[in-house]
This record gives sequence, structure tokens and C-alpha cells, in this order.
Amino acid sequence: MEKKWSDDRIMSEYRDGHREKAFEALMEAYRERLYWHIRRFVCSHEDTDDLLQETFVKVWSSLPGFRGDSSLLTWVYRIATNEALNFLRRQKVRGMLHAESLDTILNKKIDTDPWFNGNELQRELHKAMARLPKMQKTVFSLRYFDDLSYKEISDITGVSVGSLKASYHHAYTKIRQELEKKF
Amino acid sequence: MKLSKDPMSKRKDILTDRSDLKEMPFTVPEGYFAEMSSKVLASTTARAVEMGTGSGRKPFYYYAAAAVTAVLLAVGTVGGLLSENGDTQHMLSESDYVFFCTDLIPATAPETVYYSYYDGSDDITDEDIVNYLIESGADVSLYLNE
Repeated sequence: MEKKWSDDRIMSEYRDGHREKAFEALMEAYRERLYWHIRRFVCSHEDTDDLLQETFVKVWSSLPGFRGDSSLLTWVYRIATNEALNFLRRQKVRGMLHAESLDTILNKKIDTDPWFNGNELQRELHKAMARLPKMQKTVFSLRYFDDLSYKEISDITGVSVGSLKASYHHAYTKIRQELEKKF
Repeated sequence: MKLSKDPMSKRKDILTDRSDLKEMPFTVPEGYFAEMSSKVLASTTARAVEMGTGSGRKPFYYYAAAAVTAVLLAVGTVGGLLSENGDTQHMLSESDYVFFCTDLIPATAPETVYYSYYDGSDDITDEDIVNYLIESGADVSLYLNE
């Protein structure tokens, strides 16, 4: 597949019966973006790999029912975000059994990540992000890194644009102040 | 460096000034994305084949039939126990009756079965206040810089 297909073409080919080709094109269009989006939540390549595959399996199962009420982009992002947040919820419960907070678990993963190849400032940014509450983490990831509009983020999360703006402002200010204290 | 209270003054913003912060500081194994797609395609194709062939279908129908039978038996048993017929009513003690009639989803806390992006209570949070201020046109940066 030489050039990425547009969302319209993907759905058109899917409805014409070329389902596997269309799904392959969908994965090619979104796999990297969704990988990094999930990775910012779960802070490990292995966990991200599992969740990304689960996300696409769910996309495949749900494609027959996709009516186009939302865009393909917001729809797949929603599935991926829910997978990541559900994973973090399970991690939090497991952590409680070992008297370890989710923040501690995620910070350890960032500190010991063998795939990390950035600088200290980048590491501190991701650790600061890991400490955010889930709403702020979600909107910060989608807005700061993926540059999605508030309307798109609202479609993904089901949260009003006003609340998202407030959450993003909180998250941005918090992270900025933390980083500017250290660097 | 202290933040100025004047939001219009130019001040350092590390998240904007450092463009490297928007890059993901991680690598992935070579060929990972192509391999991942192949794995997912193989998995979805295998599931489709399993559901489509006889060998996959027969056990599914057996399980479905067993599940339906179990549900009917359970409903029939509970319905019989709860019937107003004098022969069966005396079989249930008051505590059993409460147990069988209690909703599985607590009527007083239905939100417990839903996953929400918001934790905690319905109290007004700082985010709610900031949201209100933003929507009403107030400049919130002064408050957030205290």
C-alpha cells in the first residue's frame, strides 16, 4: 500500500466488500498515532503493544456497525483511549494490593524503559503527565501532542468543550510550572 | 523565574519554547508496526474462519442452548418461589424474599455501574469553577497564577 487512504475511501472500500483491504488501510493510517497515544498513558512498549492490538480487534468487530455519526478518527481514538484508561484502572487496583500508587508504577516504568532515547527534560515531561488525573491526561495528550481540536476531543471523550478547555489549562499550567522549576 | 501576574507580558513558556518536547522520546523495535498489523489481520481472519466453519459453529450453538436452558430454569425456579400461590410463598423467608427482589444495580447508586471520566463526588470542583469563569468570559489566568 503506497499511499495512505483517506477515511472516506477506507469506509467506501469496506462497504463495497473489500473489508480486509480497507481494514489494512485503516490500520496503516492510524497505527502509529494510536500507538503513541496509548504509550503516553501506559508508559511501556509491551503494554502498549497489547492494547493497540486489542484496539484494532475491537475496531474490526465494530466496523459493521459504524454509521459515520462521528468521524473515523474520533471513533478509533475513543476506542484506544478507553482501552488505555481501563488498563490504568486495572493497574491501579493491582498496585493497591502491593501498596504501590499508580504514579509510582508509571514513573518506574518511565525510568527503566529500555526504549527511551530522549533527554532529561522529555523524561520529566512524561513523568509529570503520568501524574495527571485521567481527564487532564487525556486532553493534554490529545491537544498538546496530537494537536486535535477541542471539538474532536469532545467527540472522543463525550465531555463538553468548555470542560476540556478548563482541564487542558489546568494540565498545561501544572506541567509547565513543574518543568520550569527544574530546568 | 517568577511568573508575572500580567498574562499579556511575554514570559518563558518551556512547553512552547522547546519543540523537542512534542517528540516522543522512545523508539520501537525495527519493523514493529508492519508486524503488528500482520498479527492483528491474522487474528481477525482466524476468528472469522472459526465462526464461519462447522467446527466453530457447533460448540457455539451448544453453549448458547445450554445458557438459554440455564436461564429458563433459573427464572422458572425463582418465579415459582416468588409466586403468590399459597403453596410456594411460605417457602421463602423474609430475608430470601428481599434477596431475590433486590435490584442488582442499587437504585440509590446507579452510577456505580458506569465508568466515568470523572472520579469522586458531585461536589463542585475547581475545574467546574474555572470552566464557569472561562465560559462567562473572565480571565482565569490571574487566578491560576496565585
